[in-house]
Amino acid sequence: MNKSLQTELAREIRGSMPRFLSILTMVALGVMFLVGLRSAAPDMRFTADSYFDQQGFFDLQLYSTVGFSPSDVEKLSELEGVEACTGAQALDGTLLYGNMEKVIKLHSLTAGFSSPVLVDGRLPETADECALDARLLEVLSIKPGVPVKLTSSTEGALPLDTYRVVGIVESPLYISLDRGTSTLGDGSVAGFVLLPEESFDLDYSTVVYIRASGAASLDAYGDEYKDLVQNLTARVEPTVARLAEERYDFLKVDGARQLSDGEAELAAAQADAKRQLSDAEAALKESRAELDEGWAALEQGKTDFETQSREGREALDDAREALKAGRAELTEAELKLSLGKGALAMSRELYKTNLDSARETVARAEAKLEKKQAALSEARDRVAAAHAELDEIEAGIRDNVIAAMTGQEQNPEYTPEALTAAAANAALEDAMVDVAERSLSDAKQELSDSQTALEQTQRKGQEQIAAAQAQLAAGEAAVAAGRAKLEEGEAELAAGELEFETQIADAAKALEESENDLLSGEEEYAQGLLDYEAARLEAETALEEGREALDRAARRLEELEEPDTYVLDRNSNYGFVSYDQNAQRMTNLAKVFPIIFYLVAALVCLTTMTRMVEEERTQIGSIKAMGYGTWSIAAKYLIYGVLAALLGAIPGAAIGTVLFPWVIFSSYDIMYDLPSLSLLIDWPLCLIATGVGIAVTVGATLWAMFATARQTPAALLRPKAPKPGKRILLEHVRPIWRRMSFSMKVSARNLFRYKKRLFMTVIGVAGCTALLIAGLGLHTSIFNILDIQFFDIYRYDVLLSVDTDSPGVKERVEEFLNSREESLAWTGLFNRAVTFTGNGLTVEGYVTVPIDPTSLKEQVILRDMDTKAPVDVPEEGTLIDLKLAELLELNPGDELRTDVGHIVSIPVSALREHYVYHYAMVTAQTYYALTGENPEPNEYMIRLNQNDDESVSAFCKALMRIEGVRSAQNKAVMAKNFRKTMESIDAAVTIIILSAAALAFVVLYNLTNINVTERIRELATIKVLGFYDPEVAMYVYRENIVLTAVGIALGQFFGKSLLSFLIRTVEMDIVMFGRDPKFENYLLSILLSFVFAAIVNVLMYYRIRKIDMVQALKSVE
Amino acid sequence: MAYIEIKNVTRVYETGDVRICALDGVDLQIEQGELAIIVGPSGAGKTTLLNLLGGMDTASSGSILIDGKEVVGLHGRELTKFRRYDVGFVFQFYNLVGNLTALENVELASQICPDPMPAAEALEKVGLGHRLQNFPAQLSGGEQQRVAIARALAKRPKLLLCDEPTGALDYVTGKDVLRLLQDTCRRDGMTVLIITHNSALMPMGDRVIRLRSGKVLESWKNDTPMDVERIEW
Repeated sequence: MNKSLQTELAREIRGSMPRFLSILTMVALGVMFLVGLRSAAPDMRFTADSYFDQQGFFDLQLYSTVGFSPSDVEKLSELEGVEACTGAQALDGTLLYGNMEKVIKLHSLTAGFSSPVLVDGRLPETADECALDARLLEVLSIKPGVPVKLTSSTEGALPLDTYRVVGIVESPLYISLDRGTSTLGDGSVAGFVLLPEESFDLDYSTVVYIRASGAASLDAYGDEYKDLVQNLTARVEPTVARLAEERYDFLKVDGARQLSDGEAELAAAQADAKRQLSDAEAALKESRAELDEGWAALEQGKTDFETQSREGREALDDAREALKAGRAELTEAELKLSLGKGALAMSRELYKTNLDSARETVARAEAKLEKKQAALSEARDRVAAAHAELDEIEAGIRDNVIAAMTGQEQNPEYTPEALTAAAANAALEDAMVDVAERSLSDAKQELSDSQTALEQTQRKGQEQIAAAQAQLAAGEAAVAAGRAKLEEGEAELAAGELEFETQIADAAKALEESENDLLSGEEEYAQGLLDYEAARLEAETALEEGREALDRAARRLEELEEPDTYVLDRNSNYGFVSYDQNAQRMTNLAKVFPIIFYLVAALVCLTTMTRMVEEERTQIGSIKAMGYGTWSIAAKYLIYGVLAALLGAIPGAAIGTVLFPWVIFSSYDIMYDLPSLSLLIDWPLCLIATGVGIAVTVGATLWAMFATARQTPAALLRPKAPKPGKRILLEHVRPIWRRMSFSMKVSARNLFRYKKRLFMTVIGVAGCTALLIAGLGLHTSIFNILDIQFFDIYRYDVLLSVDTDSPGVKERVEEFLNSREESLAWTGLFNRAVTFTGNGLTVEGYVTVPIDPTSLKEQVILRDMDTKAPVDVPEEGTLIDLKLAELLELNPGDELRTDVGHIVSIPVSALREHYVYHYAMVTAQTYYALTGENPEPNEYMIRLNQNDDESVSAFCKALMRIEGVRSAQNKAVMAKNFRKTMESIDAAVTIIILSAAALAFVVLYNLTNINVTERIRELATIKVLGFYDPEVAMYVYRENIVLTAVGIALGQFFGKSLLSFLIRTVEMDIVMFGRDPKFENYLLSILLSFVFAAIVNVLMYYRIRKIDMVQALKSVE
Repeated sequence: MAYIEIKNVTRVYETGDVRICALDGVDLQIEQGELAIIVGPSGAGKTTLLNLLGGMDTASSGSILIDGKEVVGLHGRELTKFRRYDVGFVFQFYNLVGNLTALENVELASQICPDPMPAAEALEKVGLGHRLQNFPAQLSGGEQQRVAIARALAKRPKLLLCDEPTGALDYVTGKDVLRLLQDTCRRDGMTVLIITHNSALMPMGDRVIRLRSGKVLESWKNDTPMDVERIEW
């Protein structure tokens, strides 16, 4: 190629950047996928292998039911092909921190073997230190420095109770999240704990790790390594078996001897302890007696004291009482005295009154006498007067009579009448004097009477007063005497009280003192008793322990069985194996995806180059006419293609090599504890990928080129007859054609005019849709099956596994299940791990015998995959899961071959829907017919009335307490763990979806671009005709939309096939993924494809708007 | 007021530092129903003028009034609208859509107009009533150009712009096309502008405009236009 052609090539590339870039991108995508997916698995394996080698991971681990003595380990290390060998401990145990108890694995720290990686702190150095699994930190918040309680399921293995956490570690023994199962707790292991060798009080090793000579330099996931380890296993196995046998014999003899020694020792110790104890007991008894005596004396003293004080107090009370009575008497006397005084005063008063009244009476009588004397004298006067008058009158009358005789004047007054009157008067007056005289004597009588009364009164009163006075005087004397006596009594009482108090106090003090003495005596005694009890307990415990140890030893000796030995390679390590399986899935993916991208790259390249060659037809003609050969013309296009491919392949390979393993590894990193990824650059792979990329473009270029380049220059210089318009088939279907709008007709005809582009677009879009369906489908089918398997099919909540060797376990478990109200329903099964063979494959699985097929149906839904109709465990033959049937290519009626002690063939009667692990279900009768054994349940499925985490966990714990129960697993936890392991698939899904988008963009952009370029004249014409920009765009888009729709429709079918292919490739043997993706995924894929197409169309809109009508129409095609 | 009034129109192309003045103050008037022939050598600005008149390009300055409507200053959608309703184009290379039949090519234009001439009628008019269902590849050059004319006429434009319509045709066919254009003008009163470098065509125009270097060299009204048949070149 000469200079002008080179210049032309450079310009060509610059002038057609989008075209160049689209080839470049497609090749880049293809190479990226091929290199990336292909590198991922080797990189993953290399990273893990280096890590294992670096940490000194074992090649073989040996287990023996009798353990290994140090000399056994010595002997093993001398075997040929053994590079290094060490004994170590691996035990089940529990960790208690705060109130959290976790089931753990206890491992000894063995120098040079499976070295842990420190995350925090340091490694344990002394017997009371330990290092914790970093994963434990997810469930416990522990920092180095805190103490934790550790126990081991092997009695006496861990002598201490508390261990100090000094470091947080990761171990190559546990690279996956899964920590295995245990016979403790609810069976799930939370993590491991590392302890120094000396922490374990065991005289044997529970496990022996071996590293094979020359194994480190090999890829542990490769065949060479497998052969090497297999050879070593074959050599080690017989030695291990022999050593175990020897150890078994030794243990038996040694055990018996130790047992008898122990018995003797124990007996001696027992006697000694007994003697010492009885001495102490006697001493204690003595002091007890003394104390009791003291207490009795004290009691007596107290009683006496009580009596004395009571009596004293009573006497005092009596005295007090007497005093009180005296005082009352005195008071009474004083009262009487004062009363007497009052009475005296009163009688004096009365006497005076009486006297006065008597005197008054006398006086009155005297007055009356006087008056009577006066009246008498008056009466006598009047008598005298009356007599005088009578005398006068008489005189007068005589006078008068004289007179009358005389006749002197008579005095009238002296008439007889007047004399009679005066005589009457005088008589009256005489009577009156009698009366007065009588009255006077009366008065005199009265006076003398009253005088007598007065005298009498006087005498009597004086007498009375004198008597009262005498009495009063006597009373006063008595009061004075009483008072004196009272005062004397009071003084006596006070003295008596004082004396009494003093006596009482003294007595009390004496009592208190003696009580205190007794109390301290008691204290001493109690201490003595306590000491004695402690000593006794100690002795008893020591003896009991000795007894137990001996019993244990005896039991061990008794239980000591013929030893079983196991020689296991790395495949026994779950992390190692599951990691390999995951890497294998990536390898499987690498088989499909790159092909799709290379295919599309080839198609894109073909259309692009064809277009390019056609565009430059005239130019090719002129160059050819100038005398250049076909090849130098073809060279330009080839170089163009190769350059694009090469420029695409280099970044593609680079990105693929780095990005894909990185993304994939990062997603697995969630599940695995591994160092950061080590990249291996697989040069041959990169070269092959690039080569394929170039080959694809060169092939496409040649294909496009040669039809044109071979023509004569003359033919080339003539413009190629434009592709003539043609009627399409649809036009002959008049009813449809007539009803189509003009623009629809135009689009319809255009569609079929450019058939190559039609196919390209359809394939590109279909590919994009298919990838989307596959990606989304992969996600849902994986995560759907988890729900279906664990919640639709498995109806139980707890899976219980029991040790059928433990006698009576069936009865214990079943009685427990029947008695607990939490257990709604349960069923027992017999599971036997077997290998199924057929179709050139060996598949691990189980032969399952439901003890009661009816109750099984409540725990596991047995149904057909497609129809969901229930299926039964057949009376004859077996019911197997669909995946097993697929793997072994079995149909109902075929024979399933398996090994149940001997090879048997069971006719397959039906297939059932089941996703995880493989089970061949047979009835107990069938099993008996096959093996001659009657199956005993070793598993129980239990449905609870409440299945929240707490209830289930509590129930599991209760189950674990039953003797003979191996494990009780919460189904929800199993489902969760399973889900976790599947999450890494999501990374792959993301990659698939992103590449689908990339594919859609490149294909659609490229094709639309060519479409527009090729028809630029046509578009300019309709622009000139006055089509608005959107109308012009629609003129092109209508075709795109139709093609996209067709592509999407086709993509649905491709997608379904691709998905089912992908699922089959990616899924592991033990799992069946869902085969029917969800309807939503199809919808979403359609939507996304349309969105991608729409974005491309929007980008194209600007290109269409910019079409220069004038230029386009001027040029000659 | 003339049907088409062009006043002091300039069109300057600027690409980087280069400044090309394609039209430099053009003044023109064309009456309705006239057949105007615009002649000039290559680079005189003929096509630029036609593009400005047809709304495919916009003037840098000046004024173009077509039937009283200002075209200068229109942009985007307005300009497209102007093309859509007011102008018909005929190109040197016909620019038919190869995948559409003659009828469909005409329909392509008529379907976007509010009151189009029926496509078949338009083709009848250009004498192709019998080739409606033929694809462009099945037609001769002259026939293709007639389809192009029919396509332009179907829109009933105010103005028919023809850019070297006979440039790709032989003498006889070229004459046929020119006659069709002249007939269309005379019979239907269509205002027709023909751009050509062939000055022999000048006598057939009602108005003749000569351009040189972006300027109107001369413009006159030809009161006695010659029939196409009589023109020889």
